[in-house]
Amino acid sequence: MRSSLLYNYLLVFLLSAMACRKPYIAPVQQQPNQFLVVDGLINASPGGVSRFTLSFSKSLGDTTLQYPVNNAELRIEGTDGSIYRLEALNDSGVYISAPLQLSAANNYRLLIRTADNRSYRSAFERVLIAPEIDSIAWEANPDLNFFLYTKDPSNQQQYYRWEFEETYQTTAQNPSFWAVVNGRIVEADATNQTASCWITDPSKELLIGTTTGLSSAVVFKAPLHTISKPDKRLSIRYSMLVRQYAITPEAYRYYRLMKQNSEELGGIFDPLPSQLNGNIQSDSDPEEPVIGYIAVGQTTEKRIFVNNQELDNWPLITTGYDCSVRNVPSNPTDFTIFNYSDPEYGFWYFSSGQPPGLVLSKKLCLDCRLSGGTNQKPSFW
Amino acid sequence: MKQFLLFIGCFLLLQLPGTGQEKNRYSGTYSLSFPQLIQLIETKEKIRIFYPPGELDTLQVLLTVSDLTKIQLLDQLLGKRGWFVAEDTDGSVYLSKGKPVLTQFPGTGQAAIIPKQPELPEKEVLPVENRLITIGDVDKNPAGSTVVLSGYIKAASSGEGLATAEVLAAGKSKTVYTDVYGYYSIVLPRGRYLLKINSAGMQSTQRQVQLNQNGRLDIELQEAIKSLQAVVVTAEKSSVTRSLQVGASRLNIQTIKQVPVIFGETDVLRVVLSLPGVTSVGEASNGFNVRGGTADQNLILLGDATVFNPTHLFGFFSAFHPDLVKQVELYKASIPEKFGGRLSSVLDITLQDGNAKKWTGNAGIGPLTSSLSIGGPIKKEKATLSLGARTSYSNWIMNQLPDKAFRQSRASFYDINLRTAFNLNKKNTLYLTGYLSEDAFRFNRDTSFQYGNRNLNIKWKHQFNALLSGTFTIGTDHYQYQVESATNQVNAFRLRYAINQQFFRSDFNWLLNDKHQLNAGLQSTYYSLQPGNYDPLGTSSLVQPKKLNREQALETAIYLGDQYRINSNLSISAGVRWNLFQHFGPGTEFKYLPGQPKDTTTIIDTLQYRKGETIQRWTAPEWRLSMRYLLTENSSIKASFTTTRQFLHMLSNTVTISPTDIWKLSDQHIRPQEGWQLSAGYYRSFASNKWEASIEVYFKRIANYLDFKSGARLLLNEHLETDLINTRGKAYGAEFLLKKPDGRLNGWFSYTYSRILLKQDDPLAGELINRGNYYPGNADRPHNMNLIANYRFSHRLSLSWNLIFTSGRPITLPIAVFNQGGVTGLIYSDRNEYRIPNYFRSDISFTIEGNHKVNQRFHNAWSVGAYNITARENPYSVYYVQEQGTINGYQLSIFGTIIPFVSYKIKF
Repeated sequence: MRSSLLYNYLLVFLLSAMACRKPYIAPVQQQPNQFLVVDGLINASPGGVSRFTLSFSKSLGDTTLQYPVNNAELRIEGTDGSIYRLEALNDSGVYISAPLQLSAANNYRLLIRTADNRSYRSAFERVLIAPEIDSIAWEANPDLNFFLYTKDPSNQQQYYRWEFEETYQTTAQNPSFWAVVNGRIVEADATNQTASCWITDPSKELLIGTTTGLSSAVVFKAPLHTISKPDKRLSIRYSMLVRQYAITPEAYRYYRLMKQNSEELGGIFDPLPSQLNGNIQSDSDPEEPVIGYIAVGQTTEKRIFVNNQELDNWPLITTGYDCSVRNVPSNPTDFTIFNYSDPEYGFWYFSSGQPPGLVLSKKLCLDCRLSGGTNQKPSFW
Repeated sequence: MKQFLLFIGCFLLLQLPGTGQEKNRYSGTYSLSFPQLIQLIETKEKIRIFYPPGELDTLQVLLTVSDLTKIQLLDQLLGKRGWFVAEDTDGSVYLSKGKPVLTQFPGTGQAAIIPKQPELPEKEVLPVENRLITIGDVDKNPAGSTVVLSGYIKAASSGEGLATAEVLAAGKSKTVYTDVYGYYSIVLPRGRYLLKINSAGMQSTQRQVQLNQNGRLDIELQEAIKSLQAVVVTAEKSSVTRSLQVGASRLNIQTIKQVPVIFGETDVLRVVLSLPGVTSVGEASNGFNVRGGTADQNLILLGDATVFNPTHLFGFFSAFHPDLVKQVELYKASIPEKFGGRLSSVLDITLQDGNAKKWTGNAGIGPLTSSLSIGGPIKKEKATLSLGARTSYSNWIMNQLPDKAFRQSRASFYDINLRTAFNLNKKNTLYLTGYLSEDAFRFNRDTSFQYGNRNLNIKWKHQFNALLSGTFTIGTDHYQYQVESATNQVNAFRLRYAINQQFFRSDFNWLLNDKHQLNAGLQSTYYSLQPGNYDPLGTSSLVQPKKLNREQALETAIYLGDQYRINSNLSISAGVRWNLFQHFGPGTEFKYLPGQPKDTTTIIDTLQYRKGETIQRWTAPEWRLSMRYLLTENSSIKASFTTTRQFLHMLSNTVTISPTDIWKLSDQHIRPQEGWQLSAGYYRSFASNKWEASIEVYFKRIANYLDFKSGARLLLNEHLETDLINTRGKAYGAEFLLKKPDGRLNGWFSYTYSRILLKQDDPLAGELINRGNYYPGNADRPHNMNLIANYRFSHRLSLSWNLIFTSGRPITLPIAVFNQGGVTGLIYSDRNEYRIPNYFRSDISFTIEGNHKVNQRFHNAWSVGAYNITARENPYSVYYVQEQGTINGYQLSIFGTIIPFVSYKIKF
């Protein structure tokens, strides 16, 4: 009894954040809190395409997925006076340039004019060339941890940002060798198979690093990502593509602040939240908050793969749908004809007999695409 | 030879014997052996005194009397010891033990026996309180001249000087207070007075004095031994109505010990927090905020030592051992001239001197710490020692925890206090004070923090004459911390930081005459800061060692103040403190493009300074003015105007102060913080001073209050000025206090309304905060209510209860979410636009004391209580985190439940 009381004291002491936290209901906010958010990079790789996404921020409780900003005019401007226009890719606020040859001798900036005639500009930034990534390593003990190693042989680049994209293979719960094309059962090929899918997701964490304070520009074992065992992503094969950006100290400061502001607040000794000032300004109202830091540079990439067999007994995780089966007789005239009335069900395989019967399964269990991803095997796979 | 020290009554009058007394009358102080006394009387009166040899031959007499006959004198000396004094018709005196000598036959003539009742000897002599004490020769001074009476007010049990005891000359309505050593001096016109002496926790007493010449009167007060009858309140005048200070609070340790506190550990700082005008940013917060100031704007003095980090365990406990503390004084508005260097307040903690008569001690056992203190005479009446230590045993507890991460963690602290006083002679006293504290933490084997204070000083108090006294102090104050992290072998590091100051202070107090009392002094502090040593830890670490340049500066101040009593109702105090702050080399300073915000991109030059070369000099006066006007005997109004400057700044961009915050000296770019405060109040006491009430209002302006640019980097930053911004602030408020200082029920209730608003509207200084509008400071908690009540049910059982309500601290809340590169980010509101919910807490504690037999060797006491009895989950902070792509808000409570405690204390 007494010792449990003492435990309580200590828990209160040392893990106060864990011991006594509960959800906080914020005061209701009336204003829309829509601020312009610009995301993207002026891509200085030879023949590189610059891609930007424009959106509005949303209030904290707002469940709308996104507020894209469409019909805006975007231009990249160089200090040599060169101007490159961007075109809207679709109506989700994405704009892309033609393949460009930007010179590392110039500085570049982004100019934006929105449909309601408000204009914004980013600061001129110099071209930063990221060094190659040394290696990406992983350790499973038992959770899977990914680490990055990089170094700049010239000792120039001290600030980095990383993004990664993970791609993993999934399988349908009831994989089928067959496909139904124009009402006929045919053998599936790479274009219409539904047994294997590949899902690609962007990283959701902000990854930055610096080598300042070290005697050489070496990034050693920077943690990238952790996957807890078990996970469906490691059911078959997993791939991670890491993209490395060299950034300026100011950009590093911006991202560090953004990270602090959203990930590291609330501990007793954590810093206070602070204003996030990027390098984009409104021409008409300098006080208007604009989110984003437009950098100019060449990125480098590295991809690694992790196969399920390389890991220690990571299980195959399926969707877990109810995959009840129906047996129906086939069309007596042509057993390859498939016209079953219930759209929820699809053809799985032929049961033996003369003529063969058709074994049906729920489409959710047959077509992995219904759980996300594409059935087209990526080129790098 | 066995020596006796004999005290008659409970007072001691030190005056040369034999001056101006009538023939055959005895007045003054006698310090001699008994045979010498007999010889003196025999010579003077030409009589014989008979007594049996033996016991009395070795008796040492230390006796003060006024206007007594030889019989009264001898009776006073010997009556208590069971001796009888008899006189025959020839004037011969007979001393006998056990029963009186009959000098005449019974029935024949008058019995000359002095009636004697040995069991009640004091009844015989006139109580000291009613006797007339004559000071000086009545013929020496012309009528109407003024004389000075001075001396020490001491506790009879320990011989320790009683600070801030009140000495009141009735009729003249003149009151003075003793200083921290118990010394008082009062200037009065020649004449006869009734002096009334009051001190908290002591029985009040009075003396009838005939003041003829300057003289000395030492008075010992008996402790107010708790009797089963209700304690009679005898305090005659409430000090708060009479003192010259506005916004000053004084707490003695008895008061502090009554307040229930978490884990049953008496905590000086937590009680200070219940005073009006004092707030903290959170429950587990280092330091406190006074009238809107930051925590570093308080000068915390522990026996003249500046304590830079006053807390243990990241702020859960204050670092002051309560058994070593005598009293605590907080100056919020009129800060005496002798204090300087901080903007908001001075918290002056006076240490307890050891008992001058016998060895005593305290031991305490609580759930987290144990403490021990002892004090006593090293040399009787000459030198005392007081030593205290506390330590935690949380490491042992942590080893019992089931979680491995906990078992590998460590959290421990200790503190040691040392205080010695040497009474060299009546004019010279030497004090040695030492303080050592250390905290060590280790989280999960690879990250550790350690911090500690180290202080040592020597003070010499010299009484030049009855009117002029001086103290001379030299000392050193040190604070350091160290962080080690070996989570990643390549980035493993050790970071060390240290601040040192050496100081010399001389303070003089000169009672010029009845009207003027002067204070003056010269003080000098040498600062030496090691702002950061960053080293690799382990062989595989690639960390590049980085060492910031040492910073050094000299702060010198001279001050002069005068307390001028214009008439019996009106007194003023006016003073000036002149500062000279010199930041000198070796050092490097950056020069920035004029007219541009200071930034790494606007550095145009780097200037190197040689050793000893002045880099920057700041000088300015600080004004200290206050006045008091007595409206009636029981009420007064006061006003004050104070300006302050601060050259040493603590930089913290976290909610609370963390032990790893750094201190920075003013330099070319970081201007001294400056402030002025106008304060006024109305004070009154009711019901024969059983109740005191006051209302104070204030308005404050602050300039060069340091705030930070967004994302400021404070550690290991050579050009800190590029990350800092100067803000301006204003603070105002009203404080109400109702206090019952004594009695069965005692305590206080306070309510404060206060604001602190800051503004940064200089575009050249960097980014504007909230577009240059005023924004609330972190300590802005407008409503603040405290109730502290103690009730004594019986002699042995008492109950303490407190209640605290404060407005929530301002916070900056996220108002919008955005998505950038797949990452969800947050946009925050204006700085401090919102508030966390209000804070409410109530605590209770019972103290059960063992029996109160005065002669018992050990006294013990149990304390049982509960912290936060309503179990309210008071939010300490509100924060948002990103969890799997969504943003969730949480509120964090530190003590969100009832925390019961038991502690045990032994006094010996």
